[in-house]
Amino acid sequence: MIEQYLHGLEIPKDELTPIERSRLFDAGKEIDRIPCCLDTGETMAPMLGIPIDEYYHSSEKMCQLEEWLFANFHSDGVGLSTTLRGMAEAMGSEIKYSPDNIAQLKKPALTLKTIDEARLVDVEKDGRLPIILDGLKMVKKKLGSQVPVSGTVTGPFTIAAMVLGTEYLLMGMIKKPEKIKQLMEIIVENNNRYIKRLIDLEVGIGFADPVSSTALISVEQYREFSLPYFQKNVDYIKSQGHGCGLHICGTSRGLWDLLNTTGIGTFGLDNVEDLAEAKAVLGPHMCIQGNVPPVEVMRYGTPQDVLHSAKECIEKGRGAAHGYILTSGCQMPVNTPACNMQALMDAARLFGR
Amino acid sequence: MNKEDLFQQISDNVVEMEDEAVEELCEQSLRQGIDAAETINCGLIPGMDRVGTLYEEGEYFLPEVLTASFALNAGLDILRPHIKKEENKERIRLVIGVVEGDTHDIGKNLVKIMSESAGFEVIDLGRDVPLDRFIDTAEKEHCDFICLSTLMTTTMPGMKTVIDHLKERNIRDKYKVMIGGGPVSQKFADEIGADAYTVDAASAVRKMKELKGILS
Repeated sequence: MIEQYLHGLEIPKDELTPIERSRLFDAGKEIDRIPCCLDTGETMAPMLGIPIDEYYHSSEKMCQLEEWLFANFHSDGVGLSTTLRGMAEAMGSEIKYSPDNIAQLKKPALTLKTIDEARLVDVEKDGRLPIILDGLKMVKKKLGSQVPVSGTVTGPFTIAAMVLGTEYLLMGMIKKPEKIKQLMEIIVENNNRYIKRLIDLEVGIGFADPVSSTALISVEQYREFSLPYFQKNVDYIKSQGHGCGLHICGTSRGLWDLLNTTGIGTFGLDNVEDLAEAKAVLGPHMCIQGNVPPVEVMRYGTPQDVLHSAKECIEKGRGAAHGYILTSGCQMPVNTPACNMQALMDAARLFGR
Repeated sequence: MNKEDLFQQISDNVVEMEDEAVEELCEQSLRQGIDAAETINCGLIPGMDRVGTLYEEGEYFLPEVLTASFALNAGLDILRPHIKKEENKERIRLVIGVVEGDTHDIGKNLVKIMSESAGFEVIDLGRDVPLDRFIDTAEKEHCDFICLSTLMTTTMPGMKTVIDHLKERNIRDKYKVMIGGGPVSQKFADEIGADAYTVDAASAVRKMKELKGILS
């Protein structure tokens, strides 16, 4: 059947809009198909001919891209991310922007010796935070009646990596643990200030925390230096009557038992981890989403490869106690073909009924 | 302190990530007139080897490896100026760097550290390296390996460009090209005609030994 795709294979039509699907899904009710969210963002700006550095600095262009993506693919979620470096930039890190590449850390705000100078941010003024918040406001206004809108924030530990430089954060845990914890408290407060604005805008909240991957730190180090601060952000969100999700790139299996008690509502796993195992371990506690390989399949594969991979994901994730959402294992890279993004959506329509 | 005890303490302090103690002990070795190369080979490098083993066994994680390598480098900085030059000794020499457009260099640094502790000569070009600099350096410094790293999908094609340029200059066979990094895979290595892809620093070193036929 997959071979017939794009050669006459009929794709079942959606019966619900994304917002209708999302409401029923959240209520645990029956829906027409498995939800599918395209993990997009600045890497898709070139599809509209927007240089990536311009995208980063324009609320209008951010909104324009979300509108275009939604009109073309009808993903079950739209939204804007602070990106991994957004909060660190607001705290004083220098970021290198380029037209055809995602941003990178150029000069960290702090060194292990200057942690006392870590500053609280003004979300109305610092870095690109006000631009992203304005963009989210526009997206919510334009698309909010049709599709769930969310804002992605960065996990506190990843923010620390972008404030100090990852290597110095990792060495700092060993050489100056108390200073690192002092920095983490400031980051928690900064994140909460931004999160407050997301709640005011009535958008969903997701965390991206790649530096907490067990590819970089041990479970013990996660438990000591990352989890307590992430938990403070989650507790704040829950105290306001809201929920949130989390994505950790790379390996994360060792952290799952710890995540089960955090109170997060969704976990998105990287393609290096196994969805069937996630359904068994995390599934009883939260919704799971994933995990078609973003590079090998989404960027370099064919639409048929996408369908094969997505079918396997759906077979593994289907029936999870708190639901399963089809998506890629991480953000799709620059130059991901539109036909592959379409194929991922169509996989939910073909195999997710 | 006798030589063996001193070497053991240097090794232990690298494992314990005590950079200041390593510095002190290395200075002491010079005061005692111990050959700097011997201190490196019998103290610092065995220490870093133990760190590599602890990492492979899952006892140590990246933070420990980085902190230990910081101690290793503190010792190397003290001893290096005192090494007597040896000529004509066969060595593995490699040029390494993060390809142009990318500044993520932790993975590259790990390969460098592990390669140095395996006794290879490493020429580190750093990050965001113009592609032809890899080739020019390899030619000038008579390297055996060109090692390319990237964490970003947007800069992956640069790896192919390096290989293409080697072919254009008719020197492809002079070098083994190794690639690594988050989005890179064996499939990609095959596609661009790299000699090897390895998943981490320890296997990169093993692979280089294997390709040079010196795997024990």
